[in-house]
Amino acid sequence: MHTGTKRLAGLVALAAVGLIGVAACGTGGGTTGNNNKPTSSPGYAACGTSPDTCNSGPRKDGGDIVVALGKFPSTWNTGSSEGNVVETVEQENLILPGTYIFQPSGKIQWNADLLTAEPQVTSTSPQTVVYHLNPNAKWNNGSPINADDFIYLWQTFNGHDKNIPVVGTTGYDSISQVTASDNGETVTTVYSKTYSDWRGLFTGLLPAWYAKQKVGDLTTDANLEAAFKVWDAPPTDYTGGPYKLSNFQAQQSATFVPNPAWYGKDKPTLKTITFKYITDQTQDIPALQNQEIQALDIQPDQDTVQQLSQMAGVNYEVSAGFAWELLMVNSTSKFLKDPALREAVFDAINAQDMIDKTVKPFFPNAKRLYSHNLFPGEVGYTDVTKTVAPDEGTGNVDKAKSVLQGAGYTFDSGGNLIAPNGGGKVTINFLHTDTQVRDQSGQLVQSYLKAIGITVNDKVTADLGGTLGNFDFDIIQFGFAGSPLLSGNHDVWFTGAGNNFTHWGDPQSDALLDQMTGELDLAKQADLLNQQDAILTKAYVCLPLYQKPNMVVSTNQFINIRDNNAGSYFTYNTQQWGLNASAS
Amino acid sequence: MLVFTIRRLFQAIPILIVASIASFALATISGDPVQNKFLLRNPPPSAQVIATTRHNMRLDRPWLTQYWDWLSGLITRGDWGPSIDGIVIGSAVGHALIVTLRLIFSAILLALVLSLASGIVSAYRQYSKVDYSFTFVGFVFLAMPTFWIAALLKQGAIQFNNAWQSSFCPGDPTCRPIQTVGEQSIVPPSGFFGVAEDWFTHLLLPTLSLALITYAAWSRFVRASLLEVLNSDYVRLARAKGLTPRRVMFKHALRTSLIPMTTVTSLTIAGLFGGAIITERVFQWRGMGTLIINAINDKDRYVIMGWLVVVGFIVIVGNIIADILYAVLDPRIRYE
Amino acid sequence: MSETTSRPSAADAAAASTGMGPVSVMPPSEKTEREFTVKERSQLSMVMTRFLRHRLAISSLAFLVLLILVVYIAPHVFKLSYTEITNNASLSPRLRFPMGTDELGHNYLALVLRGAHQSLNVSFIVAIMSSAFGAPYGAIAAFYGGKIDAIMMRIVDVILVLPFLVVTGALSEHYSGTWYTVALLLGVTGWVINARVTRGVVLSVREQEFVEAARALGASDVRIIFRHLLPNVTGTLIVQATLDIAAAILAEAGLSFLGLGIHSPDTSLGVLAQQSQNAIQTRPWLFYFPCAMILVICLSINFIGDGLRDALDPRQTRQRR
Repeated sequence: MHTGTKRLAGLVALAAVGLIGVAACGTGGGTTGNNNKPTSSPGYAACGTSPDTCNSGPRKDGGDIVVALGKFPSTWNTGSSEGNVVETVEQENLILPGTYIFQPSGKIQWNADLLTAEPQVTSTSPQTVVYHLNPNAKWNNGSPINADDFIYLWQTFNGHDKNIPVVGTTGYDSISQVTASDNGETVTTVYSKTYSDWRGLFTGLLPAWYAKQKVGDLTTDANLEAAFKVWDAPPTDYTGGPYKLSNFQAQQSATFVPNPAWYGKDKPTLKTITFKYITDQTQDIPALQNQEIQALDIQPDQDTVQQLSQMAGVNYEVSAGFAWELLMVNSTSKFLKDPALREAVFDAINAQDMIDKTVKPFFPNAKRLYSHNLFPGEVGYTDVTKTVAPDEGTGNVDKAKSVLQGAGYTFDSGGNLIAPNGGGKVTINFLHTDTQVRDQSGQLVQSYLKAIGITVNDKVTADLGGTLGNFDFDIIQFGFAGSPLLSGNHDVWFTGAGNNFTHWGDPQSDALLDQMTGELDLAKQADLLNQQDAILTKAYVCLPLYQKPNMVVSTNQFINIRDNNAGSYFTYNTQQWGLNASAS
Repeated sequence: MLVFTIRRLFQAIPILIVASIASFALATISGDPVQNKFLLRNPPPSAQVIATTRHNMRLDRPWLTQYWDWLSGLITRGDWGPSIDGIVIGSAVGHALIVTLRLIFSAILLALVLSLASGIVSAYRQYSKVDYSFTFVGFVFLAMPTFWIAALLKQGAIQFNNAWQSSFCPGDPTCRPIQTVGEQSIVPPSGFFGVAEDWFTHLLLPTLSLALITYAAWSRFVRASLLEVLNSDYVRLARAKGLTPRRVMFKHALRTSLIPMTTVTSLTIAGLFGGAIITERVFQWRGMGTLIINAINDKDRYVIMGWLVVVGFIVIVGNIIADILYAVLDPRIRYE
Repeated sequence: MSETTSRPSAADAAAASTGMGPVSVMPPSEKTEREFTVKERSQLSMVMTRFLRHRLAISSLAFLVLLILVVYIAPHVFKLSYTEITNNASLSPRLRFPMGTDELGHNYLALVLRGAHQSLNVSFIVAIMSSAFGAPYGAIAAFYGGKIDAIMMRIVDVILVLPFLVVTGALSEHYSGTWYTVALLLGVTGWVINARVTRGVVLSVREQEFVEAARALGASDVRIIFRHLLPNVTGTLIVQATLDIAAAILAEAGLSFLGLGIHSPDTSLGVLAQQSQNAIQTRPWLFYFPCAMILVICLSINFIGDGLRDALDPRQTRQRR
């Protein structure tokens, strides 16, 4: 009985230690978000100006790194509709070679380890692209990475066999033939219709030899269907990248070791890279504090950033990603079908104030985004919305009121906005998912629109897809993932397109979008998109807010880890990761 | 007794079936898994992909057919149905069950020992300072949200590690005596003792967290039921005969007072098989709780159904075991 | 089914004794209890007297009443606005902001009081729903016994087997997480416990002479159930209701933690705690104040329940050794 008592006392004491420790932090914590705004720690200081080379330096051999990831793979087939998950792609970056690698800056860089020269468009009619493969590039079993792998990928993803549940066929379905020459080292792809995002194809090659080994030759549809299922299993048997999967514990972790057959210029120096699956982001920081993980890629928030800034030996970087936060208007909703009201609403909303109050505390470099299609730093970016609609998002209540009065709106004795022609009191449903930043935005939008007499019902949706798809909103705040490849913008703004949640469309805009997708030159594409953007901006259906911040964290023992939000993710250069030679 | 058990098992079948129909209906109401998965994909998947996935998820069949296909598939072929996330449901449920078992076994053991010890002390020294302290501690744990207990334990563990690391494993700066996430080390150490130690470092916090909340409820129960017995006539008689208090307590009172306790524990344990959802989440264990939460979020209806079948069965069996234990231990109860 | 018709099944017995099992925690008054009094005392007054002797329960009750008054009235009296956005972002507790402020400069005291308000609303609704439906349900099942009892209890079994989270997940998708939907959900699934507890007690009461007498006098079934059986269960039910309140507050907090409970812009103590999990080390007041509020509410309710139990069933407070 006494032992019981003692043990219990011990437990209580353990709990108390935690409490006291925390309390101590609390009383000392006079420095909170407002007066203490760390941007990034020393290792990442250069990432703002040179995102492709920051946190780089000499390595020394050895080292084991554990990286936290937010989702565990239930299938490793990232080409399947089930397995197409960012976290899985991040892991397959270590083993699957591709033709292009998206650099953190958004630059689309051809893979000089896999190819001997930059792929060329040799003809535009029909579009023909030729790849010259490096003869030294080999899979771990010694087979060359060659045309077989291109052909297998194309056959699987071109949509000719509807029974293969691929996540998408876009691009591959525009290719009419893939031919090998030069002993398989030269691959020629011919397109049946122009596809401007061709650089996004063949970025994750699968080993055709492995599929053959499992199912036999890959000439019949039945075998292709069977081969597709091969990629569900953990990829312990094959690699064409710098690392190889050596140990996979379902839902817990995946450990990669250097691939002895790696042909690339930079050789991996780490002994292991382990991805540990931590699905609750709140648990990441304690795990980092307890040295159970050494790196992670997470959504930043005020408290996470502040805790990181107080930790010794931890580098982190909050950077603007290739995704943007926006307010979208349902242009067929009861009140907002009137463009004048939309304009007034956009004028009354103070986007800079929203940024200052919601993301600035942890993302000091947050800036307003002035384009619907491009990100600053990309070829052809201009501040379109700032030029076309200078008052948009400035919180200009007087301007908003004059627009409203011009359109026949009135105010009742209580200051409520009354729509013309007996439209009644203007109320708007504002929807968003339940995140801290968006919850705050909801309250802020409420206060901005109160100034022009509009009542805003702040509502949260758990099902963003459903809410958007069913147009169950008047205004909605969410984020769009962008890409250095530009054709995706077509579906966001084209009349009635699958990703157009505004219900808005315009023939002239549609024509420009169609022209853009048929254009192979990136600069010309950007120019067409900017023309389209001017039309879009005048419609007042979407208010771009800012580029969503992203964060990568690593301890200062490790070097060459940097964020990449442009489409290749932060594991794009694992062959360069290593122990920091200058760290003790 | 055997007849009784068999009869109860048969009675469980309609309950499970009705519960599964209700769950299937609820899972259907909760939303379309394919829509949930694809609507925000950029670029959006083709209509063909959506149609194929819908077909694979059996969404193109009438609702009742879907249910029937699931039920008959499970019974005749052991087919648990498709998953939108590509989960192989049968083995996933099996794996999760083992993880949960590992998690709750030690927690229940600890909670039992603690609650018995403190319950006995409390009842034996009723209204003493010790009694008050135990009662108060029990009440506090009973009133604390689980995630708070877990958060405190984590903070405590990190400080413990920082303070004691050098004495536990001198010369190894990467060693952490207490782990805060996961079920085991990434590369588990070899050898029996290595594995055991590794398990222990990972089990400690979730076990404590789960044990403390379970302890809180149980200790009160032990105390109450022991007091009831201590005040009964036969114990008074035993005392009157001049038996020592210790003998009275352990030979006469304790055994009887544990009868209702067996019921409570078997029901609690059965309930825990559904997953200690919050504990699993905080400590990143992939047991039944994680399985069902992910399934609910992804509207992965056949995973929900698989979970339901297993947990429902365990709950029913737990109920039966509770009834049987009751009859075995208490001679006044007989099931004809 | 015979065993369930004639006597409570073991599970019911266990549930009953968890609910009504006389647990006494705190000492009775030091005064000698007068076992023989001249004046006849009503049961109610005896219970009252015993409860009043339970000092911890009484102080808990006083505290809880005070807290409820503060939570429901203070924001109006002191004009605490939980929507006002100020420039005092993320301040630690101080005289002007006794619980500090959050990142938008909201007065956190106002938010915590509103959260407590919503949490208490939830728990009261759950307790009322569970008792109002569960008790008659259990009483009817026990009173009629036989097939009726069997069918009614199998329905209870189904609901017990039905995963509560699936119910919540399914419905929260369609009815955005406002406090009353969460209360409704907890109530809809929570009443079965009350039904089982009530059934257990009624099973033992219905065999007693006064029920026979009532029946002999020609009382209708409804009258027997509502006038004779349920009043005998009142004590147990009140205790169970206090447990329901505490359990509902914790269940709501747990659901919010998992993102399946109340959603912003509606709030509750659980939501506040969940939103500030990351702030434990940086802005601890945001996490600890709502958590502490949950703790003190549940703690005082449990003490009250404990006192009530002692008062209603004083068997164990007389220790003779």
